Amino acid sequence: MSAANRALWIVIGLLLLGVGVAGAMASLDLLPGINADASVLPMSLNARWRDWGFWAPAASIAIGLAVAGLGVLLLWAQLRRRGGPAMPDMDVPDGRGHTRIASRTLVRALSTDLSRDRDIADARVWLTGTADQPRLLLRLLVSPGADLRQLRGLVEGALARFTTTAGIDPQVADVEVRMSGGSVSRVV
Amino acid sequence: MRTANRIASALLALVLIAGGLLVVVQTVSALVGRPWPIPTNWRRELGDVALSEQRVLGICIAIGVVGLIVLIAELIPRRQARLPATMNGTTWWVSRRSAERRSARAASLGGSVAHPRADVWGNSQRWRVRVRAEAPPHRYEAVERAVREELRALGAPDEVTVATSLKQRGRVA
Repeated sequence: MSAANRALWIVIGLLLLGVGVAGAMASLDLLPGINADASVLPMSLNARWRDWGFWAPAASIAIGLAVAGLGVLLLWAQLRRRGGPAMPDMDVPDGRGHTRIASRTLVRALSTDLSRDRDIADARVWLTGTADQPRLLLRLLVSPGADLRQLRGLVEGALARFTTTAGIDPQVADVEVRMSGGSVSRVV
Repeated sequence: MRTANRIASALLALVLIAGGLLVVVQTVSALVGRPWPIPTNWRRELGDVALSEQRVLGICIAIGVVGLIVLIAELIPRRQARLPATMNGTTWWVSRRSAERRSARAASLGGSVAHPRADVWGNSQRWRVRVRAEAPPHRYEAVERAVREELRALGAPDEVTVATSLKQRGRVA
């Protein structure tokens, strides 16, 4: 999302700069083919609008709806959860019927298991995708002195337990590690 | 900047939604003969404004300046937010700030320096670190060793370049 937003704002910046420069040049009579004494909205444009009859308001409504639709898509993209929507709850047949396992419960279980380690202050888990192709995103807040080489083993152990108990083998799509607190002390 | 971009994009989305709906409402209300919310004389009023007017020039310059500011802000190179730490074929992402804090802490504890500052950047093959601190020059090696050891614990690749700059504090008589 970050790269897409950056590209979007580069395009907007270029457009604004282009419009500003072209407008200023037209206003200063420096733009060939445009008279600085002409009005901002020429009357001929008004007349042409009326000539279009029914199609003018129809086009106007269509453009308005398209712009609003783009706005909805853009807003949805900004508000979308990390890694996509949460994995739906699972229905597991148990012989006499079905047992529903809430995706939220699985997330909480893995988060609790990970947080049990003293080096992990907080573990945030996102379970996305489908029950057939689940994806896991982890954000770990670890203690300032944690050794990530050892931590990897602990996380792999927790994931193995998760796979055994939940019955799904998620693809670990992203693991992000941050260190908690740990200010730099002066030793000298 | 990432958060700022996200907020700006969300605001732009709201403006697009509001603007699009305004166009629809305005058009439909004009069709039924009761233009709302903007009176229809805006076309006539704009028709009376010449391009050469000062306010038109001012608005165009303002638009251009805003565009230039947006462009510069977006094109300025950004520091990466997280560093890749690959081990046994799997990549974890370590927060750059955390790596910098850990490096500075290691320099302080292992190298016995004062006011350490560290900048870390790199890719999955190589990390680079720049450490600046106040200490006598003979602590150079201890700082470098401590920082390397710390980054190894963070899962840094084998190739780590450490550039250390130690400055001795001037004595006050």
